[in-house]
Amino acid sequence: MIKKLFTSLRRSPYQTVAAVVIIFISFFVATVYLLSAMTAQRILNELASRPQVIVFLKDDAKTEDVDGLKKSINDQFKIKDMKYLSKDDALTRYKEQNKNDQLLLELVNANILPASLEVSAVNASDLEKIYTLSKASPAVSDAVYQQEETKDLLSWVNSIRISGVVLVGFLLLESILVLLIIFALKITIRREEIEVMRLVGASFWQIRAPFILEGMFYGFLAGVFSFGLGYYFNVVLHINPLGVIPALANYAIPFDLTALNLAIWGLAEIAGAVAIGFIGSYLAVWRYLKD
Amino acid sequence: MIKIQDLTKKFPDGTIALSDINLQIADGEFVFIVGPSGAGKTTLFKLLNREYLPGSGSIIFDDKDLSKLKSKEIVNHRRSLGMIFQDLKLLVNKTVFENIAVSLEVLGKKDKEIKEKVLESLNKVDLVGHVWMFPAQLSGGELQRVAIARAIVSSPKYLFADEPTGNVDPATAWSIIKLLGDINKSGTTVLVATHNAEAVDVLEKRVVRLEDGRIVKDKKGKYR
Repeated sequence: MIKKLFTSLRRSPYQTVAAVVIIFISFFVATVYLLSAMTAQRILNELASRPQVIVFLKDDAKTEDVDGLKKSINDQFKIKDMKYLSKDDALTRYKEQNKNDQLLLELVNANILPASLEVSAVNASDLEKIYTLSKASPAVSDAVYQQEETKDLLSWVNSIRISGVVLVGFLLLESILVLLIIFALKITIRREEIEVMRLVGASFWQIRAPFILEGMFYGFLAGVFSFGLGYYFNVVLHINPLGVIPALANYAIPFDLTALNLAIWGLAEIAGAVAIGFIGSYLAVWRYLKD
Repeated sequence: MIKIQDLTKKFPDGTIALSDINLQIADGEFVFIVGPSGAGKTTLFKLLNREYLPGSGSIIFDDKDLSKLKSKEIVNHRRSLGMIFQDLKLLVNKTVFENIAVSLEVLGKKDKEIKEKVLESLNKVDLVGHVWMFPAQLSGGELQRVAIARAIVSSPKYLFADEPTGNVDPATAWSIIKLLGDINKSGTTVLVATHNAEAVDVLEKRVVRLEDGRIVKDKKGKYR
């Protein structure tokens, strides 16, 4: 059967190339979107770990006012994390962030930087209320929260997810339809041979299996090419697809995948492509090779 | 043993191809099915091969009613037959070897055995030198012999030949009939549909004559 498979591939090279290319495109686009979705998830996780509201305290803020504000926030909202940053802590962080710029380091000392409260809420909808409450406190000079930035990123991430699912779904459907047409053609071309096989006693699967095996082989080739190219871009060239979106360019660093993750990725992609090859060829066989 | 009882075949357009056929063919027998074109010879062979189902009546092959066979049993039934089709059904894009090998491939035989048996079969029909040729490179008689080689390569219990001497010269026709006689001598039950009166007369085997879908004669001897 394997010998027949290669004979068939050799005798219809253009159909082979067309089938492999169409499945390859679908899976390569799926790879790009998968990497994008994973990057987006990583960005969201990173954002979630950052303080969502930063409350800057006045230099002369009274301890009881600060404690009162902390208590009010804790009592009224579900808080994931609340951290007090003294002036010295702020300076340490500033130095860490600007350690490569001597001029910036020389210009700033602890007196310039305010002490602050960094608050992370469980519900994003509480951010504005925490912000308003904090601004009203006599101990607070200013407060900021990153609702807009979070909202923008969420919107990008959702767009990527939805467009990815729609586009990949459309391409997979297209792959199946193209395979269906290719195998319908193959069955038509080989109708006489199929009739002879039937008449000399070929079984149901002896007639159908070669077509299905061929479809799965197309999928295998496409899966290998798609994974190979994805590997080349991500692991060798270190390119992350989300890098093309200006708002996300800073976050879109390539994935540092372990050997296990690479193996899972490769196997999943090849198995998926083989499954598409199977579905396309099986549908053609089911539709055009009825008993 | 083949037992055909009260067999009738009517096509959807109303044509009655066979009517009230009763026939018994013993193992190892050689039977000529004769009659004019449209008498029902090919329809009878298609019923025997289970390409068609009877309208009424039954065809019993070794105690198995062909009408009641399941898909897998139909496959096994066809594997027990050797068929020489009127239109030969040789595949033009395959070599002589590949055309014959298909009968063994469906039986799941290994490459080595297929090669041996195909050559053995081609030797019987005297075409070993043509093994890698394509049908377009062969004469009418050679094509007939390739079809015979394909039919006998799996050593079937039954061999059905539908007009195996059509479109060949008398000498080739005679050699084909002689070959079928030799196959019968080795124990194979042979049914031959033919218009070749001369061959029928020389062999003096059982002759079943069909006219308008009915058996009008069934006895050993001559064409007429």
